[in-house]
Amino acid sequence: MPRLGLLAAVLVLGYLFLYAPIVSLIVYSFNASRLVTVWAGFSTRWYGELLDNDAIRGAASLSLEIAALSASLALILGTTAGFALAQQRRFAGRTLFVFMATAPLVMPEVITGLSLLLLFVALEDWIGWPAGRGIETIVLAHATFGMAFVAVIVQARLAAFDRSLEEAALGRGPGRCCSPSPCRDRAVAGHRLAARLHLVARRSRHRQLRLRPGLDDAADDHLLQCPAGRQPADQCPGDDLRPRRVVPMLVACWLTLRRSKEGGLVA
Amino acid sequence: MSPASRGLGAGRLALCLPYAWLLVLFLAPFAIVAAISLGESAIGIPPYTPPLSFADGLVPTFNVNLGNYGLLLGDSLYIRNYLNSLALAGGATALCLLLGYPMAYAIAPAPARWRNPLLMLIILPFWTSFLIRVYAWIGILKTNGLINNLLLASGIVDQPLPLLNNVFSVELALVYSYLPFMILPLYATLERMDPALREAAADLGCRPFRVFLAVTLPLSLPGIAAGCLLVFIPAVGEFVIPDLLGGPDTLMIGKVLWDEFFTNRDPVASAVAIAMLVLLVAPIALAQRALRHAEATA
Repeated sequence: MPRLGLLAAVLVLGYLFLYAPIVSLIVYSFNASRLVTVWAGFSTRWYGELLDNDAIRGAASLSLEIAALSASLALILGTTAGFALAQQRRFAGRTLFVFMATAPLVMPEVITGLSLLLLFVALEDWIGWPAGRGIETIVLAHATFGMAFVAVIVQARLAAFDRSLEEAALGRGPGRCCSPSPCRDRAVAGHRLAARLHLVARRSRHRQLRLRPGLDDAADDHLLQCPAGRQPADQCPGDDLRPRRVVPMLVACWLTLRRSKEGGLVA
Repeated sequence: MSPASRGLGAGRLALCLPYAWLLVLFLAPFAIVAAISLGESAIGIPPYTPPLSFADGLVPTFNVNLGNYGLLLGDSLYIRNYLNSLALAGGATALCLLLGYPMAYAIAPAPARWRNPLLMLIILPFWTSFLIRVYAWIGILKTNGLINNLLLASGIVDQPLPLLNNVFSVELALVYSYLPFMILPLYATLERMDPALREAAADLGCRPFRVFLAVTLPLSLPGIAAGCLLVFIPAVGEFVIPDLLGGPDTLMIGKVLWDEFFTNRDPVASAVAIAMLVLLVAPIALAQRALRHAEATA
């Protein structure tokens, strides 16, 4: 392992690199001068002008509106796509579906944006809709990009727990066992499932997935008492869920990165 | 009908919605781009003649024109720009890996209460608009920008350094923009790694650097692959960075595509897009596999 001091230095350097432009922006936003890099004293003048500028305020509220609309659409489409990706192993054209559902994650946005624009132009030519580019075309485009991100997150979450949990939840009921030994086995399995599901639910905040709170507190506590530090996955059954938080994070930052660029092309 | 299969039936039905949506808004656009790339540039609206028309009633008239692709192959400008994009994106990927690997390596073993804030700090910059952050670099790098002012004031240089509109500024901004896409998958695999393996190697007499080469590095290869592809593919198509921070020697194909389109040469722009797509299909398929792999191991 390289020396700790060197690693820490690289880490600090990396963070400086990531934050330098943002800090410089924030500092110079309080600059009295009109010139970006000439410091002429502290002033909140530009913030005042921001509030007075109707065009900017209108643009900001329009951004919020478009973001809310496309996020809602992407959520509906992406969730269904994510469920399909995670749970439906075989259907006609699955390969194509998998490709289409995840390609927007990596496709250069200039290509997707341009092709959508050409689609909208062609559609207007054929059926008269959409009439020019506007809010609806931006929303449709963002929903299409966004659904891939939702689909990946949903799929990762669903893959984190066993499909049999769901089936167990659907078919679950007391007194279904017929013989003592399978009954005990099933009870143990069911109990493990429930405890684990409980854990999944707690960790992913999907409270509705909890079957019976406090089903068996001892087992539950055993599972939940994982030390906060690093643990090999086999010591702590719920531990394998932790890295999954990275995927949504990755996706969230990517989405914000790409969003600002695509607007210009489709608008 | 068992509950499970009932759920599957409903799922099948629900699948139609995203499937149809993607066919119309993701696949169909590419078909249109492909069709237009076979058309011929013309003056008017639309600025091309379609390769397939029904002008004489129901009998289709084919007017396929491969000239746009000929143009791409014949004009050294396009080939140079493609290679330029690949080189710039490749360089940025390598630099991201060089900077990102130690960062991920430093974050992964940190105590839990440090780890999440450290990861948040990687992601936080992306909550600021991409365009604004690229503009901020202009203020830092330009002739009378922050860095040059500092260097001049401290007497290190007596001429402002040419930091903007060259390969340096484009690479810098590419690394800056895509660094988190390298760090996050790397972190995911490094964090997952069982420390017992490294300890075992050390116990068996491996020196620290050898442990890294023999154990850590090979085990983090899925993360490296995912990170490199996540940086490389979008970087090849980048057009904002070369537009704002680039110069004549940093023309990237995304920028060329953008310019062709806005000079109303739709067929040429479409051909450029299709050629770019063909170049990127293999990396995209690889990225999907790498992502799935990283997901499966994570």
